[in-house]
Amino acid sequence: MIAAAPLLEASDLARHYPVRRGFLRKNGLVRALDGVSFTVAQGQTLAVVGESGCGKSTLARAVTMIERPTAGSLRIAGEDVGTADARTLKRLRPSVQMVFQNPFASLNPRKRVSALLEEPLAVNDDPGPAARREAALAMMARVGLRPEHYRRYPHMFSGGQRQRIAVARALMLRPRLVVADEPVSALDVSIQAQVLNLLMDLQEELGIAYLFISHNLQVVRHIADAVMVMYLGKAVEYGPKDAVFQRPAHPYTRALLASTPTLDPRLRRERIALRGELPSPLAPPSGCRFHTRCPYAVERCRTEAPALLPLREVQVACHRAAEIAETR
Amino acid sequence: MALLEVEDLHVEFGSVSDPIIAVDGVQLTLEAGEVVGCVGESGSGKSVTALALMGLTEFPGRVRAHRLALAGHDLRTLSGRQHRRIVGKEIAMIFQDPLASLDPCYTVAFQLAETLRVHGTHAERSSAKLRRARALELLRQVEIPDAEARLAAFPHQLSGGMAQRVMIAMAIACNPKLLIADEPTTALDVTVQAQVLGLLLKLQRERGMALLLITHDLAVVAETAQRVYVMYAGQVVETGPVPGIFAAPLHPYTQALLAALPEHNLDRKRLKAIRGVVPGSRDRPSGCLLHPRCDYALERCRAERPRLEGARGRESRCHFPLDERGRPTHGWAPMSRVRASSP
Amino acid sequence: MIEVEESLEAVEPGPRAAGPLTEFWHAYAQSRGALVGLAIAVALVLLAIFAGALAPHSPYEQYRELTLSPPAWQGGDPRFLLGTDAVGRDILSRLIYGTRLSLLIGLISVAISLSFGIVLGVIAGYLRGWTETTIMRLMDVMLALPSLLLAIAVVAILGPGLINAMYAIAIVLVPHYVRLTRAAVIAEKAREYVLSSKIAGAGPLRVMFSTILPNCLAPLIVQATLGFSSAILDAAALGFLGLGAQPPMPEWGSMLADALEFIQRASWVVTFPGLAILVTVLAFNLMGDGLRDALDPRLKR
Repeated sequence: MIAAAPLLEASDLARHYPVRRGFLRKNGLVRALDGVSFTVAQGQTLAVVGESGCGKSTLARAVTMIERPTAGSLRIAGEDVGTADARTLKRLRPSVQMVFQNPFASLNPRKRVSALLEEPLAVNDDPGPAARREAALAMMARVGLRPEHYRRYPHMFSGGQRQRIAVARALMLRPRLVVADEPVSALDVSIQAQVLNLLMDLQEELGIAYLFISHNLQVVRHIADAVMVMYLGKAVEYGPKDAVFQRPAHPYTRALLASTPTLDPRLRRERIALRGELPSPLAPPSGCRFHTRCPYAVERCRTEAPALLPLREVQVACHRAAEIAETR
Repeated sequence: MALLEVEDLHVEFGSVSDPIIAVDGVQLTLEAGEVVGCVGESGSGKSVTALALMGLTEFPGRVRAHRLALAGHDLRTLSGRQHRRIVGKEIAMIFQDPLASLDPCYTVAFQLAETLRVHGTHAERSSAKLRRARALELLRQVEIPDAEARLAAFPHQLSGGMAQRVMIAMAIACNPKLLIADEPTTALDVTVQAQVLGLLLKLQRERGMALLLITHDLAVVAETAQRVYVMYAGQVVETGPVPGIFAAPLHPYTQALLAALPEHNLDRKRLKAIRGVVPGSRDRPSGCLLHPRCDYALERCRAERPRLEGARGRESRCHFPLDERGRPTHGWAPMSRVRASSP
Repeated sequence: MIEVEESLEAVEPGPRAAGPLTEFWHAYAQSRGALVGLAIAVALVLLAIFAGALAPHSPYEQYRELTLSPPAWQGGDPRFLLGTDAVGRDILSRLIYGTRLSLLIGLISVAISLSFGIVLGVIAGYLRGWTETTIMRLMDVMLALPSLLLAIAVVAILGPGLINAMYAIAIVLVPHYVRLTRAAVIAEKAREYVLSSKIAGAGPLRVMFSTILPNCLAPLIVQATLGFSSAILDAAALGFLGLGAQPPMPEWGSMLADALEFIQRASWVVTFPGLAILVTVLAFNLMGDGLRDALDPRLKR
């Protein structure tokens, strides 16, 4: 069987924002995304994990073609989107859709569910009102909404239901990749479980790939096939889920896992205290960006930025990764 | 005598004839120096309970309780000034979004000093220099690096974690006996969350302060609290010590919550979700509030509202509480299951 | 097929199933002042529509033998309830017909200025950059001039008359709507639902007018209602100066102007048009306040 080309392929993807710092001062540059490489195959889930300022929102905007990359390449279904013209982008848009974090903010409060679900169709090769309505009702049933919800407004629904509407809307164009930006973070535990099940069922049924952005490692562990850990715009670890969770190679990954609250005392990991605060993205540390907080930092970490290199089953950007792995 | 005693607390909003019931008969006790968690999803009434304790329920909310006492003082009968004096000094509260809780127009130093100006010692109330020194000391106690510089900062210049530490500093400024933390770490990154929780526990230990931690995150409670109250739709459905309550829950809701966690579903593809939704303010089911969603519900659950019963410190509100293997007892038989619903 | 039983049972039923209009009405009806304002406004509209049936006389007919006749309760002719003016026209009838003119002025001026204001505001707020700067600086210039003087200047260019007065007032009102709309658009532009529309493939026009604009309407509606009363006042001022409605049109402002010399002799000729203006402006202001209260808290939802 010939291996299919990956659905999404990023190579050294970067996105920088110029920042005006005042009348007479030089412009700053926020390197929100600074050279990230990964692939997502059809039907797979890549989880992007990181805290504030790591660049995951910027990544979401780049992948959904809202913003063009400043450098590097991003290929969707083999086509490079960094250099694509407006027409190509419009053609590719239906392949990549997004589900947002905040179910209260991501649905237009002035539109009924009918309009929300039909808008994507109306904007792309409109099949006509009857066909749109049929498609919308079918999708509603698929995500577990009832037909009488068709004429309602978003504020009449609970958070979990709104998230279902958001998922339905994202699927209207039959995308091949869905970027899910913290889709369950704002939901209660029991609703979270419902929505996660929905996402997984839909993946199985429709063969969708997910770029699942989350800071909740417990959720990620459940839904992901591969995990990429980001810090201040760079990927620090990237590999299959089991490897990353069971044998985390990068100190930051280990700190994240250790900080995640765990119910079962037997599953808890030893607390790894990180020093200091997250540096400002305007002035990232020299060398390895994590060195200011890393308990394993040495002189080399301050001067030389580590590349993302393979170590056993994962790729990790740390000078001392092999060493640390040995000592554990 | 317990530090905080709450018995049969009711909080209602809306019209008197058709009220929206937010808290429906909650009881809580806290001993001095204890760390107690209050866990529940949205609509469980946990935040409303905390506000009611502080007397911060906004009009037109109506609060009534059989007993509501702090260190023996009956909070229901205090005058406005007495309330401010006792509650303002002895109880402190921190909220979820620190950047929303700090006044954006004033510096950190000003806001810290404000607390001292009202509730501080006599010396602190009169001397600005003393207040500033104390503010600096407080910032150091909450482990804010470069505290001197931070005093002059405005809230928008602080990160989420820093701002929350400032909130904590403000809260402990007058050595309260009880600190209520309402979702203090929900808006923070996970590494910062660990730091802030660690800080709260450290301060609590050092000062012998009681800590009431309100959160929806069961894991956070499992790692920090000594005892837990589980709330559902405005009622306490279970209470017990940590970790016993999570190892062997008595109430089906607690069991279902635990089962829905991704952590407990490592071996399965689909998470074990709880069907249905939390009852809103208007369509509260008859009998047991959980019965439309409960896998074990029987006719009795639909007809009769269960009371909070059980051994001291290990109570549950269920007709058929679970045994240590997680199966319902007290005469439960799987035959006559009742399906749904509200009246 | 997803397990439907797992999905949802208790979606808030009953009253919440009603549309936003019903909810809005409930919020609006909370304020007594707003209801009073609305009642008066409705009465005025009815007066305007049925002026022909309600007015006892024609507003233009001059009863030469009964000029400056006092109101009926002050000893005047009972046929003229509120008395007559300097050329013997019935004041009551002129007021009733004048309602038509005032409401028309308000409606048309606000409609014109809203249309231009919204379009300019949305474009400025969405496109930012040079387009925004140009538009906003132009608006700033217009706002820097006292509104009445600007209106006078426009009428001076176009020539006196009611229609030209309406254009002038519309022009003067435009900057307010542009600023409001632009501010609202900038605030809404960053919201996630706008991003969602863009990702779905919506083009700029659709995003501007179909996605963002409906969410900016609340402050505009309030301002439009207040603009209504402001338009009536401006029209009255222009009429007073002889630049608005020309005689013999029964516009309240020009009625005031004609009557000024009689303020001591026959005060009723001045008082009643003044009262009419007062009541109308008050009614619309109350409505505007009520609308603001009804719409603003919902914005926070």
